[in-house]
Amino acid sequence: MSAPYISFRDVCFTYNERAAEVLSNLNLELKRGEFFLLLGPSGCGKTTVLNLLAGFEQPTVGQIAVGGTPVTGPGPDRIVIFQGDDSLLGWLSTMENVEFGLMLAGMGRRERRARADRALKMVGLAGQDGKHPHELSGGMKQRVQIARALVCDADILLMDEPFAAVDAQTRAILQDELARIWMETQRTVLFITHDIAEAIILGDRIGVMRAGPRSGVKEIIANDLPRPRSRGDVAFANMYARIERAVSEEVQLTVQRETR
Amino acid sequence: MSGVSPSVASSSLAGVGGGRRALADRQTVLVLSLVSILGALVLWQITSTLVYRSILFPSFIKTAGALVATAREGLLLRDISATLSRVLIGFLVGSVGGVTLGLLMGSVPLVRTFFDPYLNFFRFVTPIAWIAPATIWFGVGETSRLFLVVYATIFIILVNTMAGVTRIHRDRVRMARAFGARSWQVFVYITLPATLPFILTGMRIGMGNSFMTVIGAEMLAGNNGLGYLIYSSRIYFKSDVMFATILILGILGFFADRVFDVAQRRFFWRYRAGH
Amino acid sequence: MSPNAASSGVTARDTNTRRPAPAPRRPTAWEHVRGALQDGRIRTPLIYGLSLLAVLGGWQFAAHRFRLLLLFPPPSATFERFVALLLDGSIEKASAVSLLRILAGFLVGSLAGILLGLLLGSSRLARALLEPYVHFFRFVPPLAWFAPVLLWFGIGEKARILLIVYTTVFAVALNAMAGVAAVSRNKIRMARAFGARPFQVFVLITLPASVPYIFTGMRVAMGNSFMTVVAAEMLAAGEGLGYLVNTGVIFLDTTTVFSGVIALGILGFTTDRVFRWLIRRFGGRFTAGPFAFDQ
Repeated sequence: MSAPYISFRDVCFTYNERAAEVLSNLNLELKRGEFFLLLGPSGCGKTTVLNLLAGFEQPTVGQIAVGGTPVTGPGPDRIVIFQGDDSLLGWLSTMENVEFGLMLAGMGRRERRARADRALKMVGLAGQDGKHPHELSGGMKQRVQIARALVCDADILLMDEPFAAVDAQTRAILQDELARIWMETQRTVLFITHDIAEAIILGDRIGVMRAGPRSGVKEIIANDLPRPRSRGDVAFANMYARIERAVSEEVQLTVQRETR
Repeated sequence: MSGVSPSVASSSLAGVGGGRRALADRQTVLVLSLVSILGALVLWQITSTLVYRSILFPSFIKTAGALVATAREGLLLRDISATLSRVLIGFLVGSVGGVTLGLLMGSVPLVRTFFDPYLNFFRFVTPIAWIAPATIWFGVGETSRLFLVVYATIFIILVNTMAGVTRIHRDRVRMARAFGARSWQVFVYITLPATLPFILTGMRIGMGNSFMTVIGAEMLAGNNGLGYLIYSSRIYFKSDVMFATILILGILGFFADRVFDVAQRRFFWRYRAGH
Repeated sequence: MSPNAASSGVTARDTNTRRPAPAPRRPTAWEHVRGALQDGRIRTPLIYGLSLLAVLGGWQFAAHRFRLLLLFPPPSATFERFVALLLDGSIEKASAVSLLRILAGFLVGSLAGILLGLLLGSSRLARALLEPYVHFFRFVPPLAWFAPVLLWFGIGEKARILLIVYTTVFAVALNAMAGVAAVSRNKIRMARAFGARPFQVFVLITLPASVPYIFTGMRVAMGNSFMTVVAAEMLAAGEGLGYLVNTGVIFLDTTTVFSGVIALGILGFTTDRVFRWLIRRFGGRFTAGPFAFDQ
């Protein structure tokens, strides 16, 4: 049995002594090249899981490792795609935003430009390279982030509810495109969402988290539906029902705890 | 006094995890600040003793001494109260005027358009410039000085109040009207609360302007007050009195601003912009 | 009535099959005027015009009627004087002198303020050490320092420019500090994920993101600088607009005083507009969305 690519071992996390523990003894393993979905009610700590893997936070107890090496801080092997647009640099053009990581790495201009062109084409923004973020729509801005991540050939993509701020129709389009892009590039993806349909469209395995605080992974459901997946068919509906059962218990708990 | 935009965020560093270090951090900051202040005072003392002609650059000890001496003579209290009363009276009058006019101009487009040209012209004329006409009209008395302070306060408060009124969410007004509110009710229950944070910001900046203008007015055409004290001390080369007065000014201004800060945070927090 | 019409509730009278629709009436002159009045582009200048007419007219009338020609000269006299001063170059010279003073101090102060503000915003150590001073000195009105500065540097340009530097530094520094604090966390995280070192984060992210705040601080500082310069010129002579206004007072020449005030208003208005334009033009691109600060 091969060692897991990404592993969380007995991870606990709390912000400070006075607050409740966000994560308690969380164990999770991700295989290389898989698209892993993390689902859960609000406040269950799924963003924290992503932040820990990204290296933006350090676990209070336990360890997170990538390919056997423990994670100590952020790095270009784990690119994050954030919710909302505030990680885009408004004073740079789309092209310059996509090239940003490459520019930091010291890549030459011509090669940067070539790579950025390819990435923009892949996400469907070929003609928009001269525009500035404030001239783009919400969906387009998220595509810029994806292009920025693709351009770096990072092995791992971390996506924190990237389509949450986008309208439903655009969201569906972006999901399908992301699925297509992933099939072409085969990166390892950790994707956070609270949208079950989104999870089924995108994920190989779907992890359902328990209600917070002191949360962990409740169960992992394998998604064997053949790609490309369509939202209308029976298999989709069955999977939806199955996941919904698991999630709704936790949602109920969350509501109870909030209104206590 | 420097005005800062309404949305000044408290300083925080990005991306640093671990709030459990916050308490230790705060203590460190406090200690460092104290060390810094003490260090500066020592440095001040040393430089002034080394600098030739310490008449020009009084030491900390001499300044403190001057402070005590003037205080004992009762002059300090007289001057402080003179300055403060001017600031307060001018500020109050300016606030009332500024808020009233601002609300009026913000709510009634016709009035706004009518007075717009004057607003956009006079607000850029520095209040100090008006000491000249004021002296010609009112003579060299309290009225001219107060006129200046009112002038300095009224425009900034007016502009901020107006900004508050024009920024009210249309949906809130619509909501009120859907519930059957009449115009005066919309004004009292929606417009006024929504404008409050802007008014407070305007007042905070206006207070700063008041101080600046009062000092200028006292230096130019006054016979008492802290500004007058500083300027008249120059003739006798009493730099220690100068420094002492500057210290007092800084403290006064700091506390005046603090009042607004506390007011904004403790009593008016529910009226924060955007709520 | 046909059965269909009955069920749909439409009577024969409603459907306009027989009589042709009446031709549209040509609007009357009054309706033209009314339409024009509704149009903001016509309405606003109209009200401006009426307003100016009313106020200036009233002023002219009152000045003559109440014989206040000395204390409160009418627009006609003021205008005459203004033009005279313009023609003999006094206003231009005075304006240039005042402006140059301001600019010299302003540029130095802004640079210092930007550096100071960015430093304070980025370094906790710097903040702990220097913040007490910033928060103390910002409340001491610049004019209060005029007396000590005169004592140290005498009555010269240096004194006045130094004062402007002081005025500018704090306004700009405070706003720059706010700008640093307002940089969104995700931008910095993004940069760090791509391997940026702290210095690179500062130059490539913090600095550009703070630009609109810096401009706002400069705008405030400009206003304060005007105040300081005029007062300094009134107190210790030297050919600026403040001095011009003062001469008016000495000779009880209110028209000169008014002319100086008008010139100050124009200058202040223009410089403010310049900054507002700068903020609008460069502020927009520096955030991912529209940057709306104050008016």
